[in-house]
Amino acid sequence: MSVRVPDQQSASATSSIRSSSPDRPSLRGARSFSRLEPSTTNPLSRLGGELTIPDISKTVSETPSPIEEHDEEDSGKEPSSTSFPEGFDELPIELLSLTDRFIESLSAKVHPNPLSVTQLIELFQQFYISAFQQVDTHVSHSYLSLASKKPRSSPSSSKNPTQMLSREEIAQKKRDRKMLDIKRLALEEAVEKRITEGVYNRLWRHKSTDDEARDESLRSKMAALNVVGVKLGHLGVELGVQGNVEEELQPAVEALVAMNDQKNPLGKLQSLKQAHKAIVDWLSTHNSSSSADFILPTLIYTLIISPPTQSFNIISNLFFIQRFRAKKAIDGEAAYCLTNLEAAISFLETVDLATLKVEDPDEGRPRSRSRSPLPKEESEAGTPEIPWAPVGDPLSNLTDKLAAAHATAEAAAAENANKPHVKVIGTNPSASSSTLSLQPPSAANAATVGGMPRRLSYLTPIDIASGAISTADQGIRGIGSTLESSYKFLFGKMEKRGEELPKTLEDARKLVDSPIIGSFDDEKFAENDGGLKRVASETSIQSTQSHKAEKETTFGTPPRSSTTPAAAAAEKLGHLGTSLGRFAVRGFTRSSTPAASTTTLSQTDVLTGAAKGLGIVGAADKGHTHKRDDSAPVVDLLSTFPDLANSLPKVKMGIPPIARFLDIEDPGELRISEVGELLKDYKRLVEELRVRGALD
Amino acid sequence: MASREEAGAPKLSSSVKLVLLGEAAVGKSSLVLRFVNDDFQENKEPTIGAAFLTQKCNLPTRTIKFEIWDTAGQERFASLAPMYYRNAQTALVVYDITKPTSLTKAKHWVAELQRQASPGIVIALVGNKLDLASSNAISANADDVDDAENEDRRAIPTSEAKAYAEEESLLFYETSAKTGENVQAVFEAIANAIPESTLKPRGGAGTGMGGGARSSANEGHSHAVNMADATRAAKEGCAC
Repeated sequence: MSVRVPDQQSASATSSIRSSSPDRPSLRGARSFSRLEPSTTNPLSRLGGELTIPDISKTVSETPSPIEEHDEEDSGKEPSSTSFPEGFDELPIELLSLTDRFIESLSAKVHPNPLSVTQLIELFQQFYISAFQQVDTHVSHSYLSLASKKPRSSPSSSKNPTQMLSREEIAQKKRDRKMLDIKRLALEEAVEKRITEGVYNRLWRHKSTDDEARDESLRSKMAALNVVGVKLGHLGVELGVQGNVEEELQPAVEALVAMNDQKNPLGKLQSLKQAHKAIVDWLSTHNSSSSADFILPTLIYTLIISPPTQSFNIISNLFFIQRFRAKKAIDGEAAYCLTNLEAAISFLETVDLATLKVEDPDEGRPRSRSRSPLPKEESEAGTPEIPWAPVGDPLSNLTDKLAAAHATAEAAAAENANKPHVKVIGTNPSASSSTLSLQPPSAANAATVGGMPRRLSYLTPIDIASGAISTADQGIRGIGSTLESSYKFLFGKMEKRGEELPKTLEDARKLVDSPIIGSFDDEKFAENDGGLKRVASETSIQSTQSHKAEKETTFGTPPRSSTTPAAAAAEKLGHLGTSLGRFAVRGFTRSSTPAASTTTLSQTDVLTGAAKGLGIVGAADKGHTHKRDDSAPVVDLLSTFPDLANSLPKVKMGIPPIARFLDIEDPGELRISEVGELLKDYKRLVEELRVRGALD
Repeated sequence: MASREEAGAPKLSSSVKLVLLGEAAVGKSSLVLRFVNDDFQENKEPTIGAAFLTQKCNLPTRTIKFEIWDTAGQERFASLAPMYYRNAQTALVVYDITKPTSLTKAKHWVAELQRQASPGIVIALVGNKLDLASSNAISANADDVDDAENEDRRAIPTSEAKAYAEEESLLFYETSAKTGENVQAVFEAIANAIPESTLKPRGGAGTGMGGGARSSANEGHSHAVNMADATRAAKEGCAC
């Protein structure tokens, strides 16, 4: 039985990849004796082999003796034109059985508990090392027999129909060594491929990981950034060229998408490289430098514009490569590409719109949803709607529907909820939608933790892509209205007290800064908040946000399971919140999704849900019954959306620094036991500062 | 490599990960492109442009193959840098001699590297755009020195940066990616400054793996290099 390294790779992909490691040939030539060393010492040369393999079938017939022009050891091009016969990557019987035994051992129920992914990685990497040693041994034997006999007589090389018999002996030997080195690489790839594909379904998004949730979270965020209108310019790339960038970058998008179709680490890696190649090609057509100053932002942008479908799982793919590609094979350019992707993902997971300065007026779409204008929008509370709903968005209907639902719900709820709060609900959700994009990657966990269903796909028979867009859209609306509602709540209270609504940013700041806030039962929040002390004395604005958050949760619930009581949803959210604040954001964004993406959802349903939600909110508002649940999401909102904090610059520090540490003058006075506390408090303070935008 | 093998010389050969740090537009990648292209026989077509390049530096005692990792210099990406410099044996921190803020940023990078990069990382501080300083015209075209239009745009005196570099034990050069001045010297100095014990067999860079057999075998020969040595080595020429 033979295993082939994939040749579905497109020709361009392989050639681009191949040409990328100019040193390969020299490694191959110079280090051919290293076969007997532990295989981990020679990762670079491996790359050469892996890249060459896919071409076998294409080139072998037309290039009987392709190696002849490549005697020069340092020729960077060599790997691309070196070919070897079919069957070169056929695993010899001993390797085949070794590999299969390993696969079987994975299935054997010898472990008391299911393996964690870390243990699994360990197993794999260890196996690679030992298997590659066997490959070395195998290939070295082949070389020995080559050296002592004519190449053709060697059993292993007999599979090799290269016609090199007329070469001089030294050149011949050199070529033999190269061939064998290629063979070694081919075999290593074959081993890796056989194993990873053999158990792909169990390795992919291993049960012990949160890959899927992280991907889903990232997808929402990327889609949101896309909706918000993040362009290359926001990422620091100014091309001065007007063109349909999005369209021109499609090859890169496709390559990233293709990662998902590959079932082995090498294939995924090649797709990733292909994406880089496409980006560099695109940059070069715009006369831009292809330095990292351009490549990284363009990669990030490519991710943003990639289809937010269930099959775009960039994080899972990255992890798959990192975990199950043989360690020694990740180096050089491959390592760089992976790092780039890792960096791009990390950036997207943590970015906020302030960093991107998306509110820059000179950029395409209106981006009023960044939070600095937030209080201002507040003052224009009458502004009817979603100024940023994407034009031509197929879902805009839905959006409108929902908006209508909001409005109606407002009316309905007006009866049983307190007045100022109700006001909050119906009105324009656009205020700070940008913040929505900030969902942390880890947020995905939240869904699981709280027992919230994560897989929306179950519920969304409609076109997934548009569904996802609407998800993001809805998410924006959800959070936007959440934030806005908190303002309205605050101002509503003010109004009750006979004060004027703020008309300007300045006014808003004054309000926020004013001591009135203290009357909002801060202490109650503090008492009940489960362990998240930081929130304790944050302004009550936050609490309102959470009310709204609850509302959103409930809002989204009906489509999923109309029997779920709103209160339960709120409770869940509470769990999420306490388990880890950030997740909460994720929680309600997610839950608002079904409403957005299920076409079958009737407006009535929405209304029902909304009304329920309002009921809850009202109740909570009156009785402060859900305070405990509130605090965590609050923290989350603030830390996730620092822009919000920016617009509230004068809010006091939640907890003062620990006095004792301020008094200490000599570090010697510190006790060891206090270091932890000091560090913790320091981190807290830094976080506070960061949240307030005082830090870079 | 071929000649080395045939000659049987026990010359140390190693792959070294070098990370480029510095504000955007200080010329990080131009510097590297100059280094890589200056002496360039092969038709290299790196897949990922100038962001990842490799170049060999042949010195009398060692052959260093640099794997050069470029980083995005924009401030908003600064927090991603650790992913790039992990496992780097050497870092090239570039500033623009006409732009004081770029040196400030460079100092931040140096501090960060010293704090959390691999221990023993070799850091080179490089002031780029030397061609924009008129004093440099002495070597370039002395006749033009007094021309009014040949304005000296230098904003950071060599002495200032040099003093800082000495204080922090950094290699220090002023270069011009445009004219190529000092570019080879920087990389040769770095190649010489990498402690032998950290050199890994070829291909080991960045992976953190790889047997140390070769490098440990050679550990006896110390190649501790100070800046003076580095300069001397530079004159020997890099046969990259």
